[in-house]
Amino acid sequence: MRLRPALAGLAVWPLAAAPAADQAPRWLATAAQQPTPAYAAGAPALVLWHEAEVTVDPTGKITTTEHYAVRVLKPEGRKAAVSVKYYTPDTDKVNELRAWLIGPSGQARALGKDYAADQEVPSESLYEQMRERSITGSRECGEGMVFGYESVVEERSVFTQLEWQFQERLPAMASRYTLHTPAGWEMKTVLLNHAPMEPAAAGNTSTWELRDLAYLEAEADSPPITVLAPRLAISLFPAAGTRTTLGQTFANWLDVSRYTAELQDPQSMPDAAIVSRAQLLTAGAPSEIDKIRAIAGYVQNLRYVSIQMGLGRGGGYRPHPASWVFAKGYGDCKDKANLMRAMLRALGISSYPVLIYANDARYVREEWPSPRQFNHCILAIMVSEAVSGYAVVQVPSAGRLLIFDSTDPHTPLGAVPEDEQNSLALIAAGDRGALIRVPEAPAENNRVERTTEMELGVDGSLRGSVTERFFGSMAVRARSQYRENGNGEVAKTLERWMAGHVPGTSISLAEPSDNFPDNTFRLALQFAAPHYGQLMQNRLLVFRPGAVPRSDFVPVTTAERKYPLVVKGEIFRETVKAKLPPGFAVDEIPAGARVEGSLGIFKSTCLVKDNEITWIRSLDIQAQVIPAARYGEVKSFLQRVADAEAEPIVLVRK
Amino acid sequence: MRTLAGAAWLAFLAALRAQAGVDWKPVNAEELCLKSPRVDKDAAAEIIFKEIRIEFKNGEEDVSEYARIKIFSDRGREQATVSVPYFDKDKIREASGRTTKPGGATQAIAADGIFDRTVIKANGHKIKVTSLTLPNVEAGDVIEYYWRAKKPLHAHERIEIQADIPSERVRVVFKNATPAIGVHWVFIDLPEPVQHFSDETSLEFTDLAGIHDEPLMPPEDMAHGWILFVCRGRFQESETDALSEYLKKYLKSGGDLRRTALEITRDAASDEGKLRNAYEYCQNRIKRVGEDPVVEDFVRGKQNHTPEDTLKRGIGTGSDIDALFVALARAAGFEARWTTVPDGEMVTYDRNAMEDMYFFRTHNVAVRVGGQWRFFDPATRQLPFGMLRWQEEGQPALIVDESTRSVELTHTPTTTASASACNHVGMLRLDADGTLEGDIHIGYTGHMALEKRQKMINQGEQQWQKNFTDDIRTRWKGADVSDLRIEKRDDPGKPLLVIMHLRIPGYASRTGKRLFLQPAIFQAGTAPVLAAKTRQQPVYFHYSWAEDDQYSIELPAGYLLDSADVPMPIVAEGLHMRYEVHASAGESKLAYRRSLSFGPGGWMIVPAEQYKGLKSAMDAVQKSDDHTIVLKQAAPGVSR
Repeated sequence: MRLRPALAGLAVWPLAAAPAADQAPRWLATAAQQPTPAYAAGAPALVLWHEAEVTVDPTGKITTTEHYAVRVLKPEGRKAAVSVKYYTPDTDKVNELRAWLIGPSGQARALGKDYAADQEVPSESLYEQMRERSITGSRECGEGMVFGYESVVEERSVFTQLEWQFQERLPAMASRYTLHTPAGWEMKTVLLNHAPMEPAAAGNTSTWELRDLAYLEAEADSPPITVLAPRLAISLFPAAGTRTTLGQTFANWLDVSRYTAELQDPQSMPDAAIVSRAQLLTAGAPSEIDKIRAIAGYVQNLRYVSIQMGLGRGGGYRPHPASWVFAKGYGDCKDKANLMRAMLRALGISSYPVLIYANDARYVREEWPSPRQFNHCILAIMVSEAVSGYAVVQVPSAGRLLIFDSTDPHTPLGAVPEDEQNSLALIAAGDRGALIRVPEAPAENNRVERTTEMELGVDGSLRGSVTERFFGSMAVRARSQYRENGNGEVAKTLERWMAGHVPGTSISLAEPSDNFPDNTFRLALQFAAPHYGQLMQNRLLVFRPGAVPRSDFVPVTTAERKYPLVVKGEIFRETVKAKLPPGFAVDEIPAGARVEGSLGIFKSTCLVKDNEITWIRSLDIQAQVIPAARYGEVKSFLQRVADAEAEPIVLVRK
Repeated sequence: MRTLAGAAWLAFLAALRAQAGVDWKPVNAEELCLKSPRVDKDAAAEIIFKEIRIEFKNGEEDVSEYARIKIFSDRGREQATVSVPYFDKDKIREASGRTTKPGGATQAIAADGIFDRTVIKANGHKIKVTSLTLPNVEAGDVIEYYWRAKKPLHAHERIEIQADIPSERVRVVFKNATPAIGVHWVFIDLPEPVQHFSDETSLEFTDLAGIHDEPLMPPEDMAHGWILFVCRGRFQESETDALSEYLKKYLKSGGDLRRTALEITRDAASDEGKLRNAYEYCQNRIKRVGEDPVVEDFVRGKQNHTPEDTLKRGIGTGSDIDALFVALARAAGFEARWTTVPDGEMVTYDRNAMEDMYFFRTHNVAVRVGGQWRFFDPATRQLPFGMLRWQEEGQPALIVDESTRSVELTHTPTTTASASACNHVGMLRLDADGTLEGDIHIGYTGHMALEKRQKMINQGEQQWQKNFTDDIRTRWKGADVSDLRIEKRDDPGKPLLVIMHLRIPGYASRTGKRLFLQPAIFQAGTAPVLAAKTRQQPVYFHYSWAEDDQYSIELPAGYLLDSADVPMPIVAEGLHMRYEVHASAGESKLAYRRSLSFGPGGWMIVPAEQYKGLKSAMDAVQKSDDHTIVLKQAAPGVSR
């Protein structure tokens, strides 16, 4: 399953350009004459005009004609001077793609075939059917110049739903979408990320137009563009009795559930080999959850290999037969979920595919029932009351279900990947299907607990050991680091990270241990820092108690923000025990701090007892979306935390 | 129907290739039982044996690759997917593979595990890929793959020897069945192989590490092992002739050009002045394709063929602009020549191993002044007159005399460390709450200035300023930058200036009765560039540089200096490194000066064996930069 990719810069530069002397079309010449409005200040480029005119003919053929003009305002805006049309060769055709450049003086030229390319859409798939045709004018299109294109794309796909995003990040002076439908056809539309708006209608033609759309500047940890940019979602319903090439229509989520079940259910029949393997894997499993865990472990460990074919005909939603995936030992998300269904079915356990949008929990909207809202497939396993935990949901129509992602090899059964928590997902259980909210792990589940023991030398050198325990999503992150990079490489990275905070730090031991079923991860470290404390005038020895840094969770790099700050919940706790060097006594220790704010709470205390200093710090960050207007509070909170953590300990020679 | 027929044909082809007669040799028991890697203990997979065969025959190259790989962990399974890219005139004749389980059972790749497709079509060319993925691969398995391709004969054939994972044994077998073609080969970053000669040549490498990235690495091409097969004469022979022939036309000058040369050099009193005028004309008056907005039809078939074309149209490529400078200098009476040099960003040149034009990828202009060759590159925007980019400094230079078809080999000069400097000057005030505030001037010269200027132009000045302030806020939480401005951005002959007012709350740490101030403001607490304890690759410094920081810091009322000692100077002769700090405290001010000079001039490579010494010197500098000065609260009634 895949989503049509967002516009991306083309990695191919033409070696040279072909002679072409065409004049720019009138619409482009007119658009290019418009002055740059004040609201475009700061943007790398400005969209002067973007129009899509979509005609659906009675047979279901969809023809989209687009006109687009963009003015480059800054050097980095050159990458906007590109036209990319995505298509799947089995159902789509790019009938026309032409582009022009217009200079500040109005002089125009066409970009010929030497600026054009046709390529497979870059992806991680072994085979990717989706392609892109493009014309790239970035090389020549300097500041003040306008790039424009016209395209005509014909589709004969099975999909009965259309989408139009009125802008990417760039500001847009005008963005128009016109839809012509055959007589008697109905449509339902939803305008997302924007106040409701009625289209201008004339006969079977509807037109939506937005003007003066502001620049959606990228900010760290801000909501994604899909939540910020206005989007139009359309569902078409052919007139009764019409014969079209289009597939099923979707009036509600149950329709989507039925459609998905029809595609997926026949593929999940177990063959003898699957039955035999399922029985073998669960032979020693005493309980229901043990059986499920054994199957989950097997499927999670299969290689992820994606083969994208038949996309225009719904191939992105239909898994390979379970027997095929089992024989190959690889598959993509829907293949893996489907094989797991088959293996569970062999054991008499029911399960359903779950459609979800990975990496953006706010993407899916309830108001538009459509399979096109999803890009990932996981599983809902029917379980008894004996199985509990936050990943279990009670769905009135489908029963008690354990949500599990069989593609993510780092998140064990009983946990849900962080990016999928709290997002809308469709239980594709046919007539019993439902759109649900994926459960969220309790904040306390995701935490890091660290104990640091260290010994300071009279010259300021430091030796120490650290035991760090990761829980929940923090364990998943740590585990994936180790699995993807290997122990040796992570140890080097850790050493570089620590040396980045305390120069010369070396790690002599880094011992990870993973308890995958419990979703905990433990790391034991031994380290030394030859120049940690600073000896001054052979009298004062100054050092900070936090020798091992902690990760910075929240970015505060800008003076102010335009968009809300999306904060992930995190909990960090550390106890440091530092033995004093012989001949030194404590002169000053940190006073201890308690910093409270809307972001969370930080506490630190410092005690001296029997030649040993104990410093305890804890930082609890609440998962939340903080409005831009309250960004100052976040900065102030983190500044106060940083000040408290930077407070040194001063020792004096006795 | 068309699509189905196409798919069926692809599957048929794939099946043919998969079934092609690969004579798999049995995987031995030792390999099947192997539990841990033999070359690198941390490897997720290791190449047990790889053989690359290459034969030059009938104007074609026949290339094949066989590999046997042991998978040690789940991470190593990514080796089970193999992609072979090739151009449209090449043909993949065979592709196959199989998985062998620890118990000896094998599973061959099926036709539906092999995919051929055109990845890109552009400019009349196609790049295709054959991908294959092996079935049921798990840790403990041995996988094998094989492919064979036919290609038209190229002047250079590059064979990658080192892989992402370690290799126990890699054999390259080479045969030249066309005696008319002279073939030699160059090893890059490889140990001396065991060589066998018969009717074919066999080169065998053992125990090759996987490719690892490290900071300040030599160029990618110099940091992993590969072999270049060269299928023609060396540059002293036929390539010089070809280049001379090309340059005869490309540098040809005419009447308009002579008139322009006279015009732009008329006011100059000296040779230096004439060259400077010609240089600035080329650098500033000719638009460069790819950098300047160019609406005009600068397209294939309308390229510049002579310097006069460039002059008339006012547009050109980098080559065109350098060629125009050659022609203008000649017209003004100078001996000027086209010069090719290796690009230091792509290779660190070794004359003993790399004597081939393949490595001379960039160009500049040599002009004889006062009996000496001087080098210029007006095609590079923001490059000061008389200086070269670091990539072209200290490189072997082939000065081409196209009239006699001869070349002269010399070296381009280098600039000293002090020519590429970064200076911070600040008038600051420290408050009792630890806030540091004041005006800072940052000056850049030489290569540092060029890099900054190019970044400012590429990003746009506004974006550069935003990134700059974001970096400062990332570094110091709560820091505020105001009145930020850039001066002399477009005057490469002058230092580039960045001026700002900086306020850093909590810069100095506080305890109940002390303030702790690190006066090396822009260096203290920064992450070391070389943090790793050990090193596999040499360390490559692109150019030598200097730093000079001077601050005057007004101290807060009610505080006395408890310790104002400074770190000792550091000198590392082998690195041409010198570091010094001076500090003096007056009635209410601290004067601080820090200076660092690094490198002998030009680029510098420190071998991995000398990494310990380099790191020790750099750590010592960092420790000194982290040096803290303590201010103590004065007892009531005690004045400063």
